Amino acid sequence: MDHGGHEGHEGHEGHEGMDHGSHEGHEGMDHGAHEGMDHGAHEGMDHGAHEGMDHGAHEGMDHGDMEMSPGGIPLAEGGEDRDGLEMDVLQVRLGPVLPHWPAGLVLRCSLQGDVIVKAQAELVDGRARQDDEVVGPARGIDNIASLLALAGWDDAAAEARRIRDTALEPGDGAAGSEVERLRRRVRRSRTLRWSLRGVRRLSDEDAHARGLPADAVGDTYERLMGMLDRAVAGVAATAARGTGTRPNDADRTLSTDHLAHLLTGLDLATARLVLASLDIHELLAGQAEHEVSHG
Amino acid sequence: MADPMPMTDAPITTVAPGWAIAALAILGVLVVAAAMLDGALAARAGGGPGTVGGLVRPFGEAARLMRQRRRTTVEADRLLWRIGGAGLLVTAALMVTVVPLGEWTIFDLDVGVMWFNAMDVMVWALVWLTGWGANSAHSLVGGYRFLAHGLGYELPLMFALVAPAIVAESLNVGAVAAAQEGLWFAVWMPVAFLVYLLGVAAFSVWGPFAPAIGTDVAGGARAELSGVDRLVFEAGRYALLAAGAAFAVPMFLGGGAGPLLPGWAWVLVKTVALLAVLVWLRRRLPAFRPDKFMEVGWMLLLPAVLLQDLVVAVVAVWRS
Amino acid sequence: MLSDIAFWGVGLVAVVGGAAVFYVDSMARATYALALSFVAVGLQVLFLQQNYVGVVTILMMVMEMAIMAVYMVMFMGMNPALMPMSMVHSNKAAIAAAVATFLVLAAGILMVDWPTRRGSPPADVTMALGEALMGPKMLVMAVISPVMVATIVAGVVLAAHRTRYDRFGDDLKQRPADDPQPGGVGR
Repeated sequence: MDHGGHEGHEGHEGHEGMDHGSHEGHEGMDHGAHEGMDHGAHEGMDHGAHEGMDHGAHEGMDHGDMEMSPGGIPLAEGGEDRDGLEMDVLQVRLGPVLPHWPAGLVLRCSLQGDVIVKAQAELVDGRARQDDEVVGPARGIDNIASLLALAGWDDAAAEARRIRDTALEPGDGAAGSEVERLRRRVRRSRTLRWSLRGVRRLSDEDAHARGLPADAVGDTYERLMGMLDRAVAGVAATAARGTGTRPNDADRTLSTDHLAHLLTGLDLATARLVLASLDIHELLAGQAEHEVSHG
Repeated sequence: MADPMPMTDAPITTVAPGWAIAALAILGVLVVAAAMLDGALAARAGGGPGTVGGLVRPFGEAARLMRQRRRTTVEADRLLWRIGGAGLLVTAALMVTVVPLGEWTIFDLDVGVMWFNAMDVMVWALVWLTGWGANSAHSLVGGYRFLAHGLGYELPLMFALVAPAIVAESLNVGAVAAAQEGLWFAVWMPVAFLVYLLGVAAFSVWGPFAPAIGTDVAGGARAELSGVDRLVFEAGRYALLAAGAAFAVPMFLGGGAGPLLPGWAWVLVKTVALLAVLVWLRRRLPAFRPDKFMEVGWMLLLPAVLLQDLVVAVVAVWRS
Repeated sequence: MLSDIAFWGVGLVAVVGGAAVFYVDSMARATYALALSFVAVGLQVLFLQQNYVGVVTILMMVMEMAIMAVYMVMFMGMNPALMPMSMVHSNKAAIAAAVATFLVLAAGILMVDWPTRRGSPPADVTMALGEALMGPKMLVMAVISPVMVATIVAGVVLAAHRTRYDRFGDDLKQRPADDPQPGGVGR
């Protein structure tokens, strides 16, 4: 129903991308072997064994033996959360294939609840890409579409996707007025401003330290506005074929080393909004296998 | 054991239980209509297959889902998962039993307003169970997000339903409809009406209240739903939206009152109009993220609707 | 006749649901078995013509169980839905206590000299019940509820480790407030 067709795919891809990842993330368990098991028989056996053991051996609501792992998934380890209470840590892998997600990025997250407390970013197939003056602005508009879709505004996201396709076609520069209209529409939405205001505010030093361009300073809403401004300028410059001053997309890169810093401490959904708002055109594989922990 | 449902003196006839099938049929037609409208609006916004293509898209989508093989996840709690997914449709059907269609109702409960409220609280459990059952991280996050929204919208919704009941001095839905002769409650209780509409969108996991199934959590509670399960879940959402719109008619829009047409026709016309507004609302607004909406619910909506109740109560006392 | 059968059927669901709480092996199932039991009890109350009480029971209990499931999962530290776990502990003592309680209550039911009905039930049994329960004690009830709310608020305030000085700075002048998770109103 509604946009089921579309979402259906998203759900599916998402599933492939991260869910199995979460299981794999658990201390290198062999995923393949585990899938091969007969599910029904496995489950039956498992339950039987547990009940017998739990009732007999354990007094108190004690949680079985630590080596027990239903479905081949080991118990979560506990850890202190940001309120100083102990909370389970869940290993979830995001990417490399996820809708509205930078292609090839794999983020191994430790989640407490839905808060990312620890993250490790790496790149699958990190080959350098060459954006020309057509693809560059279109990629920017595509990032806008991603951010709008993640913010839950399907209509504006659909419009942005349409403009992206127009911008990719060689021709008359019809994208110019359309992207200008999109900018006006987004600017008018007070709900969107309310929703994105104050989300992951970056200072000058933050942006500099993480190797981000200067326009990444501010909160997510300001970054979205910056993206729209750049899209307007970029499309206009493309239409003018070099006579204008094309904004330089070359520095819209981010090393995976810095990514984890930017996303730790945020909840899953907010982290995705923030990541989309950085308007990354290209990810660079980090120098070090970097692990960052929060707090 | 006597008859559990005593009649009230409202001008309402209780029809034979067999007519429940007719009520379900009407609900089904509303669901299909809402899905078609949403498809058409989405097509227009996306510049996709055109408006006609959008109108028929729900049917193609339904056919696709019916053929789709069920996805299984490791160690899913299937029982709870299925209950959650299928429960939305059942809840919506139970909601419409107390809505009078003109002068007929299936279930003339003297506390019909509370009944509706109890049913909408069911959605808390059902969405969470849908998110929980699949045993997947995004799905679970979606389920919890719905509860976070629930804590924000439910109390304002409850107090919004209190306002019409105060004036009608009854919790019977037919009596509330009969109490607004001449002036609809929507007109002189605008805050309660608006908060109620927000509540309907919220318990239908619809539009700005869809973060529980949002793209930012990869589909959230419904991330792992596939095939018929997904079809039933989506149909349940539309059915809740339709049931919420239908319930607003006797509560705020004068029930079957209106010129020329008979009462039942007016109820349907008003329901369809309100349903269209709710479907369209989704096009206009981005998501209310739960972490931000919670405070709005408690700091703005709840005081506003309590103030509305106070004003309504004062007016009711002054009039009598 | 039909409503008698329905009443007993719902009663059976309530009892079986209650027993299932201790039989199932996951927190979520235990919580929602309890919710099912309460819903069945609410439906039974409907049969007693206490419509308001019955529907409110369903409403409150479903809401409460939805929230309780979250707390159960949170405090019983366990992989969500993964690890089957027993819902009982201190088996022998619990069984003894349960059997003893049952015997005492059942003996009470059988041995009390129940009065026969005088007169007939009033038209609005819900109102009659309310007056019988708290008619002369309305003032006490009216005082207790704000006291309870105040207790809850005070408890939360005392338990929170962040104070307004953490939010607004030592001179209470820092705006916007420094919150780990900013809210939507912007205070």
